[in-house]
Amino acid sequence: MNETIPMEGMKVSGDLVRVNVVDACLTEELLTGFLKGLTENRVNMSLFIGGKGSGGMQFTCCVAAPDQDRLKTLTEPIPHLKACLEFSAPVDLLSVFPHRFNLKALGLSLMALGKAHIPLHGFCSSLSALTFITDHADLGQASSVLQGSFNLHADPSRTLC
Amino acid sequence: MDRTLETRAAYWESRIKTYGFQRVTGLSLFEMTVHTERIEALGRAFCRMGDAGVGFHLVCSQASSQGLEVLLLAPAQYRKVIEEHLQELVEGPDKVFGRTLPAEMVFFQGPHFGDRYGIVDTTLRALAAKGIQMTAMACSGSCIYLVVAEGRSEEAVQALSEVFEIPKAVSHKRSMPVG
Repeated sequence: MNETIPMEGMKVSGDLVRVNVVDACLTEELLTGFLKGLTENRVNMSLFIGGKGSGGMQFTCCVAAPDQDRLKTLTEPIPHLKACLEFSAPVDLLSVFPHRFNLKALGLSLMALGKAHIPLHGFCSSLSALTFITDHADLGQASSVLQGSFNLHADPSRTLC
Repeated sequence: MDRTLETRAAYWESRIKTYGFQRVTGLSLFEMTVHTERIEALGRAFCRMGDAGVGFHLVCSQASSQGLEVLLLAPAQYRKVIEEHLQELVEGPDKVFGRTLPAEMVFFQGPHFGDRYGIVDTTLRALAAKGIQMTAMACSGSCIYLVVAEGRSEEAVQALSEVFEIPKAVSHKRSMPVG
């Protein structure tokens, strides 16, 4: 399957860390407590993916790397919350757009990343973009294989929703 | 002495503004766990679905100890064709676990949603106050997607309308092919 499809552009959001719930062990109360802590500490999440698993709530979020220590501090007094959370090595968000609600755009991206054995920690669609969470160490390779999968415009649009 | 000029600002409102809520019903939520070594095969399956004209409303995934937990929210009319394509993955050497649920979606955006704090917190507190459980939630860029069980999206919009500012009437549509 060597076919490519046109994309307007690609965007990188870097200097992030991923916070992940280990194996859906979080109760709804702990999740709301965690989110309240972020709000009170004015911490923005660049991406949030959450859902109800069989054992409890599960989520992945990405926050700015400088906020990591504040996050660890706010979870410190809540042992159950602290035990559920895992902080990753630096990650980047790599977005391609627009996907035009075409599953082929996602398929080509996953095929390219999978073939190159680039660890993928998650992905998410928005109104226009497909965003992939990759290790910062793999950013160059990940953006290169994604560019190879799409006919990217030379002068990409800057509008991302 | 640090002579660097720096401006720090935060966009804050006592009641968070939105551009309105969109409710989409008649959806199917496909949940699957894919081993990380099967990502390329999953990509091939999505390509084939794309070629078959299958559209989607939301697709998201997070890593777990079993691999990638993938959610695909699509119009219910595509259920059969999606399940057929996913079946090929299930029958592969590293099996994919999955299930399909009827679902509804609430989608909204607002000013600076992509770079401000407190939106997810406010959303989930509004739902919890009315006893509405979310099935899934995804926020990237300036978009908030909320997936709820079949028949719960109207209540979810009512709950959100009590805490968020809405400039205009709620839009509601039966799911149509997207793309």
